[in-house]
Amino acid sequence: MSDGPTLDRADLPLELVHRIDLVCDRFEEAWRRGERPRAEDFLDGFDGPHRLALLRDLMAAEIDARRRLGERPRPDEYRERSPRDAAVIGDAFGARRGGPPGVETFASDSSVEAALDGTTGQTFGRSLPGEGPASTYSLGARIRYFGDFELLQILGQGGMGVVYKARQQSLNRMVAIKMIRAGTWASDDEVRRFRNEAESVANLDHPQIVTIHEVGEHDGRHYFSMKLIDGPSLAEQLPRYAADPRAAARLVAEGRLGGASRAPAGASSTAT
Amino acid sequence: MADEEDAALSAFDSFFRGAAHGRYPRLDDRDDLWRLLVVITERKALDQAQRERRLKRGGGKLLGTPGLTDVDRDGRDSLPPQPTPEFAAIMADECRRLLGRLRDDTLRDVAGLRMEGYNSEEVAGRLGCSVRSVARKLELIRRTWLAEEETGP
Repeated sequence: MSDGPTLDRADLPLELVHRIDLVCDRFEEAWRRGERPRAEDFLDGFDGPHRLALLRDLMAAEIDARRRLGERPRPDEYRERSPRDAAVIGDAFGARRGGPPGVETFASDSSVEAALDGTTGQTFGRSLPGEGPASTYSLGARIRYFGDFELLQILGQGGMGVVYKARQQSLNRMVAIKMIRAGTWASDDEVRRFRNEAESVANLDHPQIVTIHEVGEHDGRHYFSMKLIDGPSLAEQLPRYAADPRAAARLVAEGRLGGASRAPAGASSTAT
Repeated sequence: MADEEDAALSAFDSFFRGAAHGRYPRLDDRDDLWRLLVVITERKALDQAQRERRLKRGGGKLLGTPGLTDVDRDGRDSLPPQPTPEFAAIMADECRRLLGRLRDDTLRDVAGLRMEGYNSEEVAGRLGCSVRSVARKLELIRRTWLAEEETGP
């Protein structure tokens, strides 16, 4: 879960969790009707730690609702609105959906909060494999970090994950890092599939299959890093192979479709 | 809305409906509702077995646990334990009882759909609520059932 004050829901009495749920339902319902209620206005009858628990869930719900409307809520707006609740605000932004709040931010401490949310495509350019050399896309002026990794550029995107070229700072090496896309909320199933993929690939030892360095989770986002392999993606090579079925058959026979000639193709061929 | 019993039966059927469509419950997931139901049923089955043993102490054959048949006895480890008809009956009872303990039909709907194998996004889509709301309700369902398990029926 996220850092910050731990308001562990497991410690809250069941009856209180029910009351919180009902208030949150009313709050979300109001947003669905097109009203724009504020989290702070739904706290009647809740005091002390109970108030904080409810406020966190309400704020997380409000943040979700606003993001669904295409807005980009920022923690400082909420800190301004409710200065004494700064800790809860961090939680509401940082926590994951599986528990109660939060989804999208992956590094609450930095300037990267938006880097990987639903707008990733615009921020980085839509570098879908096959739309041209991905290396023409850059991150712009801002440097974006994900834990130990400095994200340099998007190498590819699939239905479920994004692969970045990144520098692992502690070891000063270039890697490819794949993570679940943040714009879509990762369900338990997706997280499971993602982990399964990483574990399966990690157990393969084959010259044509890219090596997994590590599998992990940072700020609620699952990722794995792998050896970065330079070269054109499989998608970019496709026209060539379409024109030459024998070459395509050789490619399959040599097992290169599993590892492909570059990280994103290798990664996405295992995932999607 | 359907009454509690209908809801329970339909949730119990839902397992088979879900399986028929290739949506299997994830029994390896600690938080999965089916798994929770199985755990609670197992405990109940053990309690029943102990009661019966006390009644029949000394005489007759040992019934063993009515829950799971032991297919492992001859040393082969190929098959998972199969539920006995008794176990299935206890489980159906427990399912009905536990669904009846839930606060309202919304929670019963969430439990039913989840047990049918839909993931949280799909449940949210069907019920017209947010994924976060589904997560909240799943937590309530699990906690309600766990509390039931602790205090007993």
